Amino acid sequence: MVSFIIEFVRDLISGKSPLRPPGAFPEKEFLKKCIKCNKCAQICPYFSIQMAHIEYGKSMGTPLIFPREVPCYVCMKCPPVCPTGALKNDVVNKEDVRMGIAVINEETCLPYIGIICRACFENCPIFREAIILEDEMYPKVIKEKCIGCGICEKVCPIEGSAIIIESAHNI
Amino acid sequence: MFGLKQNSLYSNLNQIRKFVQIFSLIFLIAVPVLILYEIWFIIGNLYSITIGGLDIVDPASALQTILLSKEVTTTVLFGLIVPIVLALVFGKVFCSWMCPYNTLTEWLTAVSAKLFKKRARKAKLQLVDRNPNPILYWSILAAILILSWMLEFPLVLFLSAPGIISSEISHVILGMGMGLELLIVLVIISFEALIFKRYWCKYVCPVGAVLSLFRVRKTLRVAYDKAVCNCAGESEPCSYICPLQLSPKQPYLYPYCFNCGLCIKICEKSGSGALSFKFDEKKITAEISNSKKNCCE
Repeated sequence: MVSFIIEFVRDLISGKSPLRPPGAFPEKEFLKKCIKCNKCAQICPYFSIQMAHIEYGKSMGTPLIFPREVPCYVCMKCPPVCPTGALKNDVVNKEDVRMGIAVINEETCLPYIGIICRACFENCPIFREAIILEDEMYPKVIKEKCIGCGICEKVCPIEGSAIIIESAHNI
Repeated sequence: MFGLKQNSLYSNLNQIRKFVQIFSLIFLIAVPVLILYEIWFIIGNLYSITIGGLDIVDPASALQTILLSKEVTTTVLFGLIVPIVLALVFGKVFCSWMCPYNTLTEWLTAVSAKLFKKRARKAKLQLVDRNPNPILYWSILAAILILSWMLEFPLVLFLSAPGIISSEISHVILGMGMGLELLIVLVIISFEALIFKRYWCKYVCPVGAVLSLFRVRKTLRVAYDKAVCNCAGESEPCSYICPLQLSPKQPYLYPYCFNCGLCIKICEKSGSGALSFKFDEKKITAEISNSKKNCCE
């Protein structure tokens, strides 16, 4: 119980930086601009955008994405509807999105332990650019191209996913 | 006007107001329901809403974002037009006709007044400071804005009861879970229910406070004609019925009054007709000159 409270208070103060919808300003700037109008979450046809609750402390009520549940399919419908520009309205190409960067855990990733798997490589929306196969076998993330949509994290067959999106705001 | 009998105009107006209140509650529920059916004609909530391309932004939230981020987007700028024009013409009618929080408290006070008749009457009888100096109102608004600016924290959003209610309706219907912001609204409601007074809407709510900034001489107001008033001294049905415990007979009615028209309705019922909605300032100057005459005679 005590540890839960300490954890909770720490979360409140630190203000976790979750994965934000495409086009989001850096976390601090984003929180100043977002007016919680919910339009991005409502316009999302895949229900990818969820709402932050109390565990996110002062950013509760703001939009975020849990890629393992529903990733962002970069349809780019949400940035133009943001009234305050917390999601940059001029981000219209999926290649320009920088939500985060995928990080591969080489200890659990199947090809690295000898089993052929191309799930992340084949589902990446920036096909053959953001995730490449080294030696036709090992997936590798190209940081300059990765948009952080989280589709790879969703399709990974490993329990808990061997490829996880690191929010751009934490890097 | 409206093809109604002149003498029942204001009670009919109140019927229309109650209808609009229910309609706006249904509207807030309909927006997320339509989205579930993949109709994206209306999106947003009472912080900001887009109705088929027309953007509307709550002025209080807009003011806060501008203060915090020191930037204005064109959407925010154009979104302010509708609420500001509405406020300039009709006053804070958003509060009395549309705000879901006001609708809920109106229903709750009606219920609790029936349940606890004695306490309600007692609370209503206090006549101290019905229309306090507006400096109080403005300083509370300034304090909220300065605090949110200093803490870099969107305080206005957390104090906007209509915004919280509307966004939680949408969250629940779209399956995003209920947020704890709703607790804030519950705290305010229970606080007001305990003391039988609507202090939140009267003094604190930043949405209403920012809307009442937009007031000019010709804005709709409750006009009081002293010459026709036949309610003597203490029995004042108009200030008794006022949900905000204001007295339309005294100065400083504005910026507090949100033009719900209940005082006019009861005044009309009592038969004197001293209160009415007016768009111009003429009556007041006439009153002042009358009172000057009276004092000098």
